[in-house]
Amino acid sequence: MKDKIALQLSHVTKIYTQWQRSGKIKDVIKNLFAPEKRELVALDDLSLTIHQGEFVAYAGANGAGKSTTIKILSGILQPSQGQVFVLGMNPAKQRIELMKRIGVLFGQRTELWWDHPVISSYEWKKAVWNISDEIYEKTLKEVVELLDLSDILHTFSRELSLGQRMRADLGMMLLHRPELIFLDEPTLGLDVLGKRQMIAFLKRIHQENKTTIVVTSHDMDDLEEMAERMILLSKGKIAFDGDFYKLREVQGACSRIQITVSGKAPVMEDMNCISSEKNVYEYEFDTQKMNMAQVLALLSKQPDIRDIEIKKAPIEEVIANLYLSWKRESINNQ
Amino acid sequence: MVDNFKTLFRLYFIYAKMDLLWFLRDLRYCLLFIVGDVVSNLASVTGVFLLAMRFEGFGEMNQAQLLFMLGYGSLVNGIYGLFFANSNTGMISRIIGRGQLDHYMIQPTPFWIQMITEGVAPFTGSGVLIMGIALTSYAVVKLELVISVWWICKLIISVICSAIVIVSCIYIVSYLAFYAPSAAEEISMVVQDMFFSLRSYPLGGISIFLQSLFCTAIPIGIVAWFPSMILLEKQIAFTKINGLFILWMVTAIFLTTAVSLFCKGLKHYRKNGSPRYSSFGRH
Repeated sequence: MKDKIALQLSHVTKIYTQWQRSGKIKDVIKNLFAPEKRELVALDDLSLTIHQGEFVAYAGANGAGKSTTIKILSGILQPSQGQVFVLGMNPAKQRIELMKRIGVLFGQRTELWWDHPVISSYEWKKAVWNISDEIYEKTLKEVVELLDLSDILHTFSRELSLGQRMRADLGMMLLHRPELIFLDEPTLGLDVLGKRQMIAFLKRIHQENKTTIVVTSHDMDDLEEMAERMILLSKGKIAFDGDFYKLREVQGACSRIQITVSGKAPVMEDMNCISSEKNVYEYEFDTQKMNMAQVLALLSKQPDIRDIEIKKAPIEEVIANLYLSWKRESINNQ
Repeated sequence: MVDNFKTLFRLYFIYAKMDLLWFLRDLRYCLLFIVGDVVSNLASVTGVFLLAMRFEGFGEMNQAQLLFMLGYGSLVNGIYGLFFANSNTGMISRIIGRGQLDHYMIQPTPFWIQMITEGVAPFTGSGVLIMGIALTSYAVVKLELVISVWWICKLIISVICSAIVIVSCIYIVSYLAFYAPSAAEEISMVVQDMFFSLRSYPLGGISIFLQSLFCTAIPIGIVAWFPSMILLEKQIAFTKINGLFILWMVTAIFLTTAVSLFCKGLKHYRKNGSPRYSSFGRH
C-alpha cells in the first residue's frame, strides 16, 4: 500500500502580496496612487511525495508555510507555480471529487453547526457528502465509541468545551471514511487528557484503517508520539525529511544521562554537564563518539551513585536548536 | 446535471429539517420568535399605509393600490427570507470578509448549490411571506381585480425576479469584500437595508429620469413599485416597452453581473486566500 502515492507536490511556489504602510500622514497620498507592496514567498519550489498509509508530521516555525501547504492540498488555495496532485487529482480542478475522499480539519475552526446538537451536524454531513445509510450507521457507531462521544452527541455545539468540540469535529470529519486526512493544529488548546485521547485515536485509525494522515503542530512531543515521518519546513523549503531518530542525529545525536549522587559530583570525561541541582547532575554525550558500554564503564568508576536515568534529548529542544541555527544562517546570509 | 438536482433537493430537505428543529427547540423561544416576527413585519409597512390613509393615497396610487404594493414588497421580502435568511447566505459579504468561504470549499458540492440551499429557512423565515400573502390577497379583494391563471403566473414570476434582483445587488456590492474583507464585511447589510426601507414608497410623481434610474441602475423600484404597476395594469411613464420584458431583462442583467463578479472574486480568494478568519457568524 505504501508504494501508492497519496499526494505529490512538484516545484510548488506560493507567493503572497503584502501591502506596506509607513503609518505616516505624509505617505497617505503616495499610498493612494502607488501603494507599496511586498512579495512574501510562503512556499519556495517545494517538492514532496507522501505515500498511502504514511503518518506524516508537518512542522515548522510560525510562517514557515505549513497551513499554506494544507490549504493548497485541500483546494482552498491555488499555488503560484508548480503542480499538485492529491489521490491522483488536481485539487483546484477536481475539488468536488477530491472532497469526497479526503478529510480536512483546522484546529482553530469548527465544521459543526453552532446552534444545533452534534448529531444534527453529523446528519448534515451525511446529506452533503451523500453517505449511504449503511456506512453512516457503521462509522457513527465507531466514532462514538472510539472518541467517547455518547455524552455529547445531543448537546449543542456552542455548549461544548474545546476538547469536546475537537473530538466532535474529528468524529464528523471521519464519517465519510476519508482515505487521506489533513489536520492543521488538531491539538491546539487541548489539555493533557484531550491531547492523549486525540493522539490515541489518530494512531488507532492510522493502524486499523491504514488512513494516510498529514498533521501539523507546534507541539513536537505530540508529533513524535504520533508520526513516523517528520517534514520540517523553513522559509517555505523542506529543511528536513526523515524519521525522528534521524532528526536527533542532525543536531549531533546527543543523549542525556541524569545522575543522582550521595556525595561529591561525578567526574564524567567527554561529557558536557548541562545542569546540576543539589545532588542531581545532568550530562549530555554524543552517541556517535561514545557507545553505551563506554558510558557504563565510566559510571562504574563513580563511587557515590544512587540513581541514574539515560534519556534522549527532548525533541522540543532539538527542534528549537534547529530553528535557532536556521535563523542564524539566515542572518549571516543577509 | 441530474446528480446536481438530486443534491439540491437533498440539501433543501436537510436545511429545512435543521430549520424546523431550531425553531422548535424550545416552546418559549418559538412563541417569542413568532410574536417578534409578526410585530416587526407589521411595523415595516404600517408607516407608509398610515400616510396613504391620511392623504387618501400618494405617488399616483390610491390606498388599495398602495396596500397591494406593500403586500407585493412583503412577498418579495418573504421569498428572500425563505431562501437566504440562514447562515449569512443573504449577507454574503460577512462570509467572504470573515474568511469563511473555506468552509464551502471543503464540501463536495458545487458552490451554486451551497449558496442557494444553505440559507433556506421555511419555518423561521416564512413569517414575512405569510404576511405578504395575506396583505396581497386583501388588497386584491379591495381592488376587485379579475384574477386569471396568467395573472397569478405573472405575480409569481415577478416576485421571483424581484427577489433575484435584491440577491444579485447584494452579491454585486459584496464583491468588494473579496478585496477589502475587513472594511466591507457588513456591506451586504447596507444594500439589504436600502431595498427594505425604500421599497415601500411609490415612484409615481417623480421625474421620468429618476423613475428609469430606480428601475434599472439602482433597482429599488423593481422590488415593489414597478412590478405592482405591471400587475395593476397601470401606465408606466418612462417606457412604452412591455413591463414584464423590462423586468426580465433587468433581472437577467443583474444576475449575470452578480455571477460573473462572484466568480472573479472567488478566483482572487483562491489565489490570495483570506487574510482573516473569524469563527463566529456562520453557524
